Amino acid sequence: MIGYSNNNLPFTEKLKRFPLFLFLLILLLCFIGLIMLYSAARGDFSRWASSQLIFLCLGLIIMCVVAFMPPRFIRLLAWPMYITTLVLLLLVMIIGASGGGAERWIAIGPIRIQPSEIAKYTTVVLLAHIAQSFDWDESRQIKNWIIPLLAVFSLFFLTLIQPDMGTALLIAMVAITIIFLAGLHWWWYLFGIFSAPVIIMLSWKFILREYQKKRVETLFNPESDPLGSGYHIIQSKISFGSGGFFGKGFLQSTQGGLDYLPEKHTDFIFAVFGEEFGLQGEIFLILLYVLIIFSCYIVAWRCRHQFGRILALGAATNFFLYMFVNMGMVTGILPVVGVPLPLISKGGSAMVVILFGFGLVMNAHIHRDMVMKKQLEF
Amino acid sequence: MRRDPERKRIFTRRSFIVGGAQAGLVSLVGYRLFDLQVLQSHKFKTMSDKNRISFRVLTPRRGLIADCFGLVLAKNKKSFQLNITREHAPNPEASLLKLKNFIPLNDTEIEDILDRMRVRPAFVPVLVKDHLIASEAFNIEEASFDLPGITVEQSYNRFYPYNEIGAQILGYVGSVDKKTLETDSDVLLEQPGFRIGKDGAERAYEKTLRGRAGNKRVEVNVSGRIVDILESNPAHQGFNVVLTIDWALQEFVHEQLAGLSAAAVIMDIHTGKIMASVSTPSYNPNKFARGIKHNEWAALNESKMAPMQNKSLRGAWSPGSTFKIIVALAALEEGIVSPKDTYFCRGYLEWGNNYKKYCWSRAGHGNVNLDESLSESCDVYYYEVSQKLGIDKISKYAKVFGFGQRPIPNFPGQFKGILPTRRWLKQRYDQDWRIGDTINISIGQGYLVTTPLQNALSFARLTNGGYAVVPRIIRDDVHPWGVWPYKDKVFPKINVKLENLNHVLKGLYNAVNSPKGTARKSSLNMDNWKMIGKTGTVQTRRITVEERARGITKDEDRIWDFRDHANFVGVAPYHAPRWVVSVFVEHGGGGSAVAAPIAKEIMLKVKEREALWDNIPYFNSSGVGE
Repeated sequence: MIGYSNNNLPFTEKLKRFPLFLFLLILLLCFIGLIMLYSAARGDFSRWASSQLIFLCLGLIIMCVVAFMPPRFIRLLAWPMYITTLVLLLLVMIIGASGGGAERWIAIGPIRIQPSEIAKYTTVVLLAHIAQSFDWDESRQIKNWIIPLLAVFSLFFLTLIQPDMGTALLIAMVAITIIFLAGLHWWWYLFGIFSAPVIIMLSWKFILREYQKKRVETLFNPESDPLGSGYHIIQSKISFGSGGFFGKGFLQSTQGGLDYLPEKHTDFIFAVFGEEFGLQGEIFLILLYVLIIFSCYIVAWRCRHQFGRILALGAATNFFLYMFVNMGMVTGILPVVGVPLPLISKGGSAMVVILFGFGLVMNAHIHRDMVMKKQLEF
Repeated sequence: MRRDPERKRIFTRRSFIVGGAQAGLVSLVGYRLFDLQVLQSHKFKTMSDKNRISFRVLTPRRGLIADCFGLVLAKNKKSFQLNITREHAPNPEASLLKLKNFIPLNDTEIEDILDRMRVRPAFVPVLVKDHLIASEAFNIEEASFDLPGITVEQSYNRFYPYNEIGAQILGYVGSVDKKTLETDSDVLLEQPGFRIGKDGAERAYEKTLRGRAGNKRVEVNVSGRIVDILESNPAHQGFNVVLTIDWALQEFVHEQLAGLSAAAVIMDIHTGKIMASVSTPSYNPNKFARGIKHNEWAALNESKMAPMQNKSLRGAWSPGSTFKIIVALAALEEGIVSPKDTYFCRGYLEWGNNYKKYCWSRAGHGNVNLDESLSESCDVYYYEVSQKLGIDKISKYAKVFGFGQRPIPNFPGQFKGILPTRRWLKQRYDQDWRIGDTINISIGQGYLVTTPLQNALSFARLTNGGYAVVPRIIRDDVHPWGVWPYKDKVFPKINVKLENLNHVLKGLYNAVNSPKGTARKSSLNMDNWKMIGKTGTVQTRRITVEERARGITKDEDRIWDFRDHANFVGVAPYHAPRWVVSVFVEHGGGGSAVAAPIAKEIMLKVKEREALWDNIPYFNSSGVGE
């Protein structure tokens, strides 16, 4: 394996290194997702599941393409991908401002893209690229991280004022986690914890404009939700609780089936799952998630270059945060912030970017023994 | 790449920290799920069922009311009503405001609906609007997804096809009042827009007509719409009720009394069946079914002709001379007079210390026996007799013949009348009884107050051979739990001698049929079907000196409020008495001039329909209206 250098890994060798087990776990999860969409529609495949299937296929293709790409190529794309995401987020802001409503997507033909979802993985790719460009001493120092932090902060900020606090916080969390993993001296984290309130207060006072403040304010104000998040959470808790340990059975959800549960096909699909399959089903599902995340950790640990390690754990962190925040909000331990359950909730953008993320993980796995230069060579 | 192993070591160590944190957070979710689904599962299961299972009360169709031929007098018209249920309406006000796009609904109505919703339990539907037409109901049903909590229900509205004819006897239906809600625990009363009988037959037979509630347990979705019926117990329709009234006669009598403030009752003297009970002016009960406007209600209540009152049962007037039959019979029974005994009438009677009371004929009647006292309605004869008889005896006989009590058992809106006694006067006015009081009562005036039905009843009991007949207005025996054919019963015999009854009857015969009789102009002029009877003219006020000065000497010249009441009670046919008719015209003038001619017309109509009544086959009330 040492014998292979930068770009000379033959495709057959790559195929041999393909993480089939992870791939099968992901397929199983996607399959459960389709079944849940079928159930949430009260046994109707065409309502949600069929279009989700199209996105699933698209996502799987992207995942495989990304998996077999030369890592050098991904590094090459890091900044262009960042610029594209930034432009898309600005477009959302402009469209949102002219439309008057809070919109999170832009329509390109029949497809709606949620740039904030893309931003989560842009952050991973960008920071992995930058982490690879540092050596050990450089990655310990904060001054080297200022530019990447500002870059990520702009993604965070544009997402926050959409307003989409949930995704914005996820972007921030994933960036913080990656920089931590990359080796920034730990006392900067201590410093960050204490300075964060000050930064928030200062930005509130001097940076944010009035209408942006209002948007942020509505996020904290439960009354802002016209139907009442409290109602959502009560219905969601009823779904879980009435499901009990064994669940009511497939297609037997009354909370979802009779529409008591809002957003039952997107953010609250886990509640439908919980009602139909009970705690036993949830344990199985959570174990599946944990297994997938753990696979990513193994990929990271086995990888010989920082780029791959960061890609694998960055994607894993994103995936984990999707899962945890969604489960936390539907069970009422976190506020309702509009984060889907990964690979199960209806939603094309999230589906595609999450599979893209696993493409990154697989890429890191396939190219784990590659010798990677600090800087990109052209 | 320098010191890469160090970098990897740090990475791995930190990845364990991150992984450990993630594992901690996953266990937090896991514990939360365990808490919800195992520890609190029972609570949430109940809440889930509460969400989806709703209990609906099914409203029965109200029983119909028919006349003796089965003609439907009160029926149910299909319509639609809108209800709102709080538990399915997250924002009731928004739902109601959206309804404005479909039906006219003003802000005060919305305010009122919201008020009613506040005091009812969340699962009880509250009426938004009824009497919707089909197209409105259809449009709202179509848009139901945008109107959470609003449901369209089919309902029935009471409809009275004959409008104001017999309105007081049928009564009307109206909203459930607070007092009924407190005393009656029937769940139907809680239903939105439910109406109960408020007067007349609707009220008297309310429990029979109402029916019994059904129920169903249904699975409902979040906007309250039924997706599945889990269990259903149909409602029991109300029982139909058949009255003894003949609606053709009722209409005829109504026309006869048109324009007057008057009442008339026609009754079978042997069975007590009331064939018609008319009171004019009348009102339209359909207005109540739709919800009457406040000013219309006020106008009905404030009118001095009392259109809401069934005056044949409730009109409270002194009867006048028709009461003389009681005094005459009492005097015969008590042996105070014999038919041949005479008293001299010089136009007035003086008694005690300077008391003087006139006969209606100031010229006087000369020597008057019992027969003449009735046919010519001499007052002085009764002044004399009553003094010997005394108030106690008069009261005793009056009571036996039906005065001083409500004649129809269990029927609302009847007046008991006032049958004065020494005790009554003492209690009521703290006065001792005087001779003059007895003298007033002997001619049916003074404290004595009776109703047209009581007058008819006294004649019935007198002419049917002395049986204590009890009037009834309903053909069958009705109960809240069913309707059974009425079993004819023999009424108790009143302890009077038949020959004395015949002496009085003779007087009544001459009152109508002899050339000197007060009602001679109202004789039926038929040899084989003769009417007998007695007129009564009730002075409400003496013509004052001032009025005489203005040239008013006759009653009919005076304003309506001051005129005399006209009364007549007749029985026919004389050879085999069967029907009694009692006509009372408030401030109508003289009994012979006003009341008797109306009674004559009615009696002719009765003769015409008598054969029809005798040939009605018994029909089952449940088949009425089909």
